[in-house]
Amino acid sequence: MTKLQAMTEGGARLGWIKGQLVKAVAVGVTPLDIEALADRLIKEGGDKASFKMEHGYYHATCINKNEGMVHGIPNSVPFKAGDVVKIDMGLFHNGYHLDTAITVQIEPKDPKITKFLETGQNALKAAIDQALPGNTVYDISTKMQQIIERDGYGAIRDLTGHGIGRKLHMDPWIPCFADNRSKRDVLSLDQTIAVEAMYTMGDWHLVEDSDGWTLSTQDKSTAGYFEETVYITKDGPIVLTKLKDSLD
Amino acid sequence: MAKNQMTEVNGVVSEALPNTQFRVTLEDGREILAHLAGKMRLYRIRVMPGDKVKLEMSPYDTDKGRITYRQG
Repeated sequence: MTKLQAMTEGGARLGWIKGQLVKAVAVGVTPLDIEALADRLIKEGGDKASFKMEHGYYHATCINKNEGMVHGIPNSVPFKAGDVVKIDMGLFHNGYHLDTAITVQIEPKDPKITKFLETGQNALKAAIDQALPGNTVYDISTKMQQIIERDGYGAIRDLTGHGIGRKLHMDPWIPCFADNRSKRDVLSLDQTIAVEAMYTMGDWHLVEDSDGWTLSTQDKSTAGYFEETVYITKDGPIVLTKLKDSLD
Repeated sequence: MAKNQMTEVNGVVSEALPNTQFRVTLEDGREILAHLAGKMRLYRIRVMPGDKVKLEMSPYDTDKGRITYRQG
C-alpha cells in the first residue's frame, strides 16, 4: 500500500470521526465524553490514537474551550451554552499518522464568534492552497497570517503546524505567521503536512496552565483552531482529513 | 496536535551515551539528557564531549533536550 493510499484511508476515517465528535458536542456533555467517543471510534476502526503515542500524553484528543488554545487534557467539566469548543485528534492507520482539529460553537451562536470562526476556516483553506511543489512553507504561513490579521485577529506565534507521516510531528515546522526561516523549507511532491490555523480574537501571547499541557490566551480572548492533513500533488493539495458525514 | 515551539538554550556536551544521546551541561549549570535532532543525524554532524551545542527544550520536559546545532 502506498503512502497516499494509507493516508487517504486514514484521513477518510479521521474525517468521519471528526464529524461524529462535532455532532456530540452539546450543553452538558463533557470533554471526557467526547474523548471516550473518539477513543472508541478509533479503536473500532482498528487504528491507534496518535496522541497516545506522544510522550507524556494519555488521551486520544485534546479539547479546549473559549480562551483555551491547544493541548487541553479532557476533563469532566460540562460544556455550557455559547462555549467555543476546540477538538484536536490524531489517528495512526497502516503506519501513518493523520492529524486534524476543528472549532465548534455551542448554541446560542454569537455572530461575532461565527465570523471569527469563518476567518479561521478561510485562512486555513487559503494557506493550504499554497501547498504546491516548489512553493515554500513561507508561502503557506504568509497567506494564513494575511487573512487572520486582515480580519483583525491575532495569529499565534508559539505553536506551529508540522510535517506528518510516519511520525506525528516532523519537519518542517509550519508557523501561522510569516517567519523568514520558513523560506528555506521548500515543499515537494508527495509531501504530507499538517497545516494548522491557530489564532485569537485578541493578542497571540499564550500562557501555560499548571497541568503543564494546556495553553490559553494571556488576554483571555477566545481562541480558534482548525487543522487539516494535506497531501501535496502536482495537481494541487489533497485535504485528507475533510469532515465527512458518512462512511463510504 | 500543534507543535510547540520550544525554547532554545546553549550548553556544553559533557558525555556521549549510546543511541546518540548525550549529557549536556546547560548555561545555568543544570545537566540534562539530550538526543540528537533528526537533521543532525541526517547530515552526520558529529557531536563529542566538549562541544558547545544549541538545544531546543520543551517547557513540558525540563530534564531533556534536543541538540539542534553544534557551534564552531
